[in-house]
Amino acid sequence: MLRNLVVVIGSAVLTGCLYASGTEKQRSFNDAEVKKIERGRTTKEEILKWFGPPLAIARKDEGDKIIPPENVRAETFLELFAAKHTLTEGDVVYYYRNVEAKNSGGVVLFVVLEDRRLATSKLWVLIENGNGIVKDFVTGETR
Amino acid sequence: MRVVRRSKMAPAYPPVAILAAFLLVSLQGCVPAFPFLSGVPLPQKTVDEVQPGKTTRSEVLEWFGMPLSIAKKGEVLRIPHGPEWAAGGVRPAGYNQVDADAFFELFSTKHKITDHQRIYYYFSSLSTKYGVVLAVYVHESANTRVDRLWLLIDEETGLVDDYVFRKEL
Repeated sequence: MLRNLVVVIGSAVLTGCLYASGTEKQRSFNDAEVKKIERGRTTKEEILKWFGPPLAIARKDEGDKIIPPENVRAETFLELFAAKHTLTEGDVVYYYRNVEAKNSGGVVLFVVLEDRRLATSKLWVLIENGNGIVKDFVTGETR
Repeated sequence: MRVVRRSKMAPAYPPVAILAAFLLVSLQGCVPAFPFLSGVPLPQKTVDEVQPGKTTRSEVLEWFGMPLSIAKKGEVLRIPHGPEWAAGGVRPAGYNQVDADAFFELFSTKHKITDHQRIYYYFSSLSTKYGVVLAVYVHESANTRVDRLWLLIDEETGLVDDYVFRKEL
């Protein structure tokens, strides 16, 4: 009798419970290849071979240009390197981005809970346009 | 000593418990969702037939059809994408904005880009989603794989100057 009661009550409680989660990834670079980048050695050709075309390009001589998909001025990307390097007209910054979205939520009896998280990894590579050598690179994460 | 034997026909567990166990088991499993395909088919064999300096624009159009985007230096492109599986549902078809110069950068190490060069862009996208259901726990994972082809075409000569094909693993 007690066992039946536990089963019935348990089933009733579970009827109103549900936990769901989902993940989605959009990747344009991977960490293993980022580790291969050597300042002053890696070439533009290698960067393009490893990561493909950048999502956006910022050039020193086009600082006012609004670049998709972030819709920021090109100068914003160049600013990342301005403190450590003297940027010249030909210098160019390649921008890559990975996005990982996680959704989770649950229903506990009459309460609905939902959580959405977006993790973005970004990679900026400063290339000296004259010789096509990587001067520097920066990675960053936002959550 | 008296031995009590249980009849073989008598149930070992009450029917409610059997029903609950059955329901619990039946609620578990994998739930694959139908995939979304968009873009154009890009078979490796056909891509391998492209010969820089020899293949013509009309051959490209014959093999792959109309480009999904044509890039001209200095422009911002609106590239269409089909519906894709995303975390928590479907991302409807739409457009992505891309800086055309990013495409030209692919060829910048080997070619001097001129005003009469264009990039014909094609992609083949496969978006999949898998779900796992374990009683009251549901997990789904979405993945979109895109193979992309960029062809640098000289509008004056009508020839393919170069191409890059990237298959996403």
